[in-house]
Amino acid sequence: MTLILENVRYKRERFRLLADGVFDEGVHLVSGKVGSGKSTFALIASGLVLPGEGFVRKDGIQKCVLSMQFPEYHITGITLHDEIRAWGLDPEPILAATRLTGRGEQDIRVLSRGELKRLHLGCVFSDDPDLLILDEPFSALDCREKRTICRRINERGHGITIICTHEQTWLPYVDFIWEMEKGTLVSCGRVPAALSRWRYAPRHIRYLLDQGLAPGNVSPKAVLEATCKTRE
Amino acid sequence: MQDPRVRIFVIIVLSVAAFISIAGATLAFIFWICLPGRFRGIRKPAAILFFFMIVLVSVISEITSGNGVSYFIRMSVILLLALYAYTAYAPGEFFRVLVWCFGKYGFDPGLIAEMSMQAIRDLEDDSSNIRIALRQKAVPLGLSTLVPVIGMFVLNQIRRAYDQADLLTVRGYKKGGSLCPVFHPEMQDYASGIVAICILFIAIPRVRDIFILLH
Repeated sequence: MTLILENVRYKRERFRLLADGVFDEGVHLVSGKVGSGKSTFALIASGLVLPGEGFVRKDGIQKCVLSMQFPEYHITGITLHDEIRAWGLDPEPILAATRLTGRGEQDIRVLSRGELKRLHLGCVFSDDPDLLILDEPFSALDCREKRTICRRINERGHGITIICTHEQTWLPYVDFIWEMEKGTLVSCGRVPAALSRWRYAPRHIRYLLDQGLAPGNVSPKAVLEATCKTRE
Repeated sequence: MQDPRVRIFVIIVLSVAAFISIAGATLAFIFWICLPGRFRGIRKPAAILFFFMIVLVSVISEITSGNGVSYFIRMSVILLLALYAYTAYAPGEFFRVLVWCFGKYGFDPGLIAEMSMQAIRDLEDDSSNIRIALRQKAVPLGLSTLVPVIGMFVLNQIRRAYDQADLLTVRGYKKGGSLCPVFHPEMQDYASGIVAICILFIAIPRVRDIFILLH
């Protein structure tokens, strides 16, 4: 199962995106500043937006789901039940998993953005696609929910997961790191070797690297383990 | 056309010329052909919707009064000009132009115009994202999905309006403000303005008749 972006070029008004890379099975973190082109990359990688030049090839990928940053855009149902059924899923287990039991017949528009995001991500993970692209999955969520999302990402047993985010702390265990720099996708490689090549690494990870205490991964647990080494 | 004052003026003048007569519409269309980036607007889904509305009204008009073809030509050119104006617009232009034009009285209308343009752009983004969501779920846009989709459009706009109102309040906005617009017109801008005025004169039937008599 591989996602290949070959000489992908995309232009919209003054913005230009260049992407070239191979995404193998595992968890890929695409980091970058706000406005660097992560969301556009997510749209192109999912095949929902066609590039101006180059091509996107999905080898062995049957099902692809893109989760957009704002969960409102995904709504196509009136009640929570309708929305979950629109994903082709059984509502009750999803409601239970997202702590919304008993609210199935409620109008979906009364949910707060955080609840909506929770419900939407619950549907996305239960759909279990081969290629899952998450655009800013941690936005509008509290720390507890961010931790849950990290766990669910790492529980996915197969497929390619691409996380496009500028989140600095709550990150899952990832296999590969990519950077989006002013519209150009740059590969940092496989973790942990990628950490030293990660130009815009979060400050705490950068600090550990500078101290010669490279963490094994980017998750809070891995970072904590590396931090504890300094106290020995 | 780099100068937004000239661009807005030219669009208004050419729209009037196109509305007045077929000759004006033809010349305005030729002018539109020469504009850079003219095709960007016509690819938008809203453009197709507006075009079909013009076709519909033209057909009804042709059947009832016989002026449908003329109406179709004139309105199509106006639509092309409007789409160009929309795609060529850069944020802040209306604000600057209205303040330049009306001084301190132009500040509030300018602010309203900018917020309206932003709302239209947001609607465009919303509709594109909702289409993506529907494609992902393989759900066709029908009556059952239309209600939640339209509901989301409205709710998103209300949320943004609240956010914008909060922002203006936090920044201490009550009424008016200060802005010193600066423009950098080029020779092409002046030329475009003069050509647009000429087209308007030719489009006015009485004035056109004078030109023909002189000839």
